[in-house]
Amino acid sequence: MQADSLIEKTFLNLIEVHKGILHKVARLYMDSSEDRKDLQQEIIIQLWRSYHNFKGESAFSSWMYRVAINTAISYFKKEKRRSDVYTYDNIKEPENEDYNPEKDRQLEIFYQAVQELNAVEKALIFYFMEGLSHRETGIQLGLSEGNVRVKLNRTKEKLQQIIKKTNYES
Amino acid sequence: MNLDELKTAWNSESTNDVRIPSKIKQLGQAKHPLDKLKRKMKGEFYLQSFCILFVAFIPKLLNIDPSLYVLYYAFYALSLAISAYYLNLFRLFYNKINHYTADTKDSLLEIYYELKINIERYHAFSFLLLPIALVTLGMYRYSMRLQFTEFTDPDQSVISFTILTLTVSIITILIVLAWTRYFYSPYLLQLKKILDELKEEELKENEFSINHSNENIQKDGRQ
Repeated sequence: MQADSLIEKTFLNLIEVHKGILHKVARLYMDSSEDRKDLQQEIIIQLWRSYHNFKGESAFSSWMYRVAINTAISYFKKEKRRSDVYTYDNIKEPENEDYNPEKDRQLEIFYQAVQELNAVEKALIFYFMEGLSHRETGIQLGLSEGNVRVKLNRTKEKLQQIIKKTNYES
Repeated sequence: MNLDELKTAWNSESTNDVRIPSKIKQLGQAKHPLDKLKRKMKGEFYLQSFCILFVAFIPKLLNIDPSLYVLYYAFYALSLAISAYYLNLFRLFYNKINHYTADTKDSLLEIYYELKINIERYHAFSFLLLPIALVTLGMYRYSMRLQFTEFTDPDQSVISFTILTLTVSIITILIVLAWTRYFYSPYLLQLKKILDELKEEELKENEFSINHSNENIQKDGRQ
C-alpha cells in the first residue's frame, strides 16, 4: 500500500517536472482551452496506465513524448465549438515576467497555423521544436529517417504557406 | 517566420495552464474514444448477460409445449456456450487495448486491426444467435399449432413461417450492421485516415529514394 503510494508520488513528481510536454502537445492538438484541459488530463491518465511499462531504459521525457503523442493523435475531438475557437484578432498577451511581445506573438501565430496541419504533421512539428533529430523522430513515430526528413521539410513549407496566407510577415 | 529562432520562445513558454493533481484519484473519467468504446461495450455486456438469463424463462412465458423443452434447452445450452466464448473475447480485447507505449505507427496499427477484428467478432456473435432465436420462434409456432389445430392450414403455415424467418433474418442482420457502423466504425475510419497519412509517406519516400538514385546514376554517367 505504502509502495503504491510512493510509486504514485514519484510518477506525479515526474509529470510535474515534464509538464511542459503536456502544455505543448495540448496546444498543438487542441484550439480551445477546454479541449486542451481535457487532453492534458487524458494524457496523464494514459501515462499512469502505461507507467508500469516504463522500465527506465530510456529517458522519462522520451517515453512521455511517445505516450502523449500517441494519445493526442488518436484522441479525436468532436466538432469545434465556435465560441471557443480563437482568431488572430483575439490573441492575448501572456503575462510572463520576461515577456517578449514579438516572440510571443510569433508563437501564438505559429500555434494558430499549426491547427491547420493534420495529426501526423503536428507530431513532426512537435518533435522538431523539441529538438529531436530525424532519426529520433523516426523511432518515436515508427518511420524511417529519410521519411521523416522529406515529410518534415514538406510540413515546414506548408506551415510557412499557412502563415503567409494570413499576411503575417516576420 | 524562422522556426529555429522560435524554439527559444517555445522552450521558455509558461506552463501555468497545466494542473497536475496531487493524487491520481482526482483525475476525472477517461474521455479517449477507446475508453468510451470500452464503456459502451461493458454496458452491452451486462445487457446481453441479462438477455441470456431472460431467455431461460421463454418456454414458460410463451407457453411452449413441454414436449419441446428438451430441444429448447439443448439450443439454450448451445447459445450459452457461444455467448460465453464471445463475451470473454470482448472482455480480453478491451483489457488488452490499453497500450500507447509502442511507436505511433505500430500502436495505431495494432489498435486498428484489433478493433476491426472485434467488430467482425461482434457480427459473428450476433449472427450465430440468429438461428437459435429462429428455432425458438419455430417452437412457439409449433406449440400454437398443437393448441389450435383446427384453425391452421399446414401448407400456409410453411409459407408464412418461411417468409417470417427470412424477414426476421434480414432485419436482424441490417440492424446489427447499422449498429456497428454507427457506434464502432467512425473511430475505425479516423484511425485509417491517420494510418494512410503514415503509409503515404512511405510511398513518397520510396519515390524520393528512386529519384535520388536516378540522379546519382545520371551524375555517374556524365562523369
